[in-house]
Amino acid sequence: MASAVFHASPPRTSTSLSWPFQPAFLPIWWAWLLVSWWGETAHQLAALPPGMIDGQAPAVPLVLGGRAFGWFTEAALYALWWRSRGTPLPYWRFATWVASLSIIDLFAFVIRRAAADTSAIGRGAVVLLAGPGSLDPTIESGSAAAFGTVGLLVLLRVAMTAWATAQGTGRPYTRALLVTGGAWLATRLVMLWSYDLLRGVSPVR
Amino acid sequence: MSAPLRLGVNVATSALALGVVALGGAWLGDRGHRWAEPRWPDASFIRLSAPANAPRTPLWVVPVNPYCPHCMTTIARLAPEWPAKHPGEPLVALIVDSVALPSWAESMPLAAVWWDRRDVWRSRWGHRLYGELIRFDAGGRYVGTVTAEAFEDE
Repeated sequence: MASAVFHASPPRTSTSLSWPFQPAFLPIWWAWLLVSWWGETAHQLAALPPGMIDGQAPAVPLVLGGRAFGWFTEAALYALWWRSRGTPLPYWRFATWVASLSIIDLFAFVIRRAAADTSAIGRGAVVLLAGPGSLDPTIESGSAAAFGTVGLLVLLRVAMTAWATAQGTGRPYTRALLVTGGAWLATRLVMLWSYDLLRGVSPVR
Repeated sequence: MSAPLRLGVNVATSALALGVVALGGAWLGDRGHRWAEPRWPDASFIRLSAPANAPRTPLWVVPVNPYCPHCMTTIARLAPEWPAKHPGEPLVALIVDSVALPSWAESMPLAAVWWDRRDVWRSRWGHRLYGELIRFDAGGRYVGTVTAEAFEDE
């Protein structure tokens, strides 16, 4: 009995999660990632209504810093969860994967902007890839805030994050997907409910 | 595996899950609440500045928190051209979410300034975003609400 219990959770000493790129290339990759997000963040802030951030010059670094903080925090929370389950997740490799997979979001932002200037078929493809909110970016409800950007690209990012988790922990992919997908769904529900509660019956446009 | 770590993570996860469920409960309660239709002026509003014996006309009300920079920016943007663009439909400020009034509240450059001391705008009307524009007809009946940004785009 004791032997069976001992063998049920063998200690892990290695991971099959590799870096997204050769380590020597990683500084260039990180620099490209930050520069790309810098441009996207500046674009999004410029599109905000007048008066929202007037006079707040360091808005881009602050937002970008917040995004980077989000990557590392997300990776840390997953690492903590899996460590508590006896299967450590290599933090820096996983955090690099999380940040790297954010290029999927970056791509989604770009094609959403392009949707207005494309054909009906193109717009359909953008909706399929980047969610129904691509055609009307005005967020009028909590459901639009939470799920308006859900398309194949978001699902791909969640699936890839689960894949990296499974690789890092050695746990089955379905289990990793359950944790990652559950966490993602919980954050979406929090966004939906928070948005509606903050808005009340006030319009957003 | 560390038992204290597992226990700590389980407790934190449970607390988060409970928080999410509580938020969902609050959302359900909020969605099911029947809000009162706005009416102008509510009996509890306190008039801070307004011309005496002003005729009743259709009007627009902009709820502002005097300590919110975005609100004040919105007013500074709307106020100068409002009388020319909307003759006969004055723009009125309603001070909300403020238990104490700043001394300069009465001198806002608008047709009138009122104070929602009893939190009617938020707790009875169910409105929560500053900078919206609420329209009333000459009888004080609610016509509709738009954001200042959408209004300026029209």
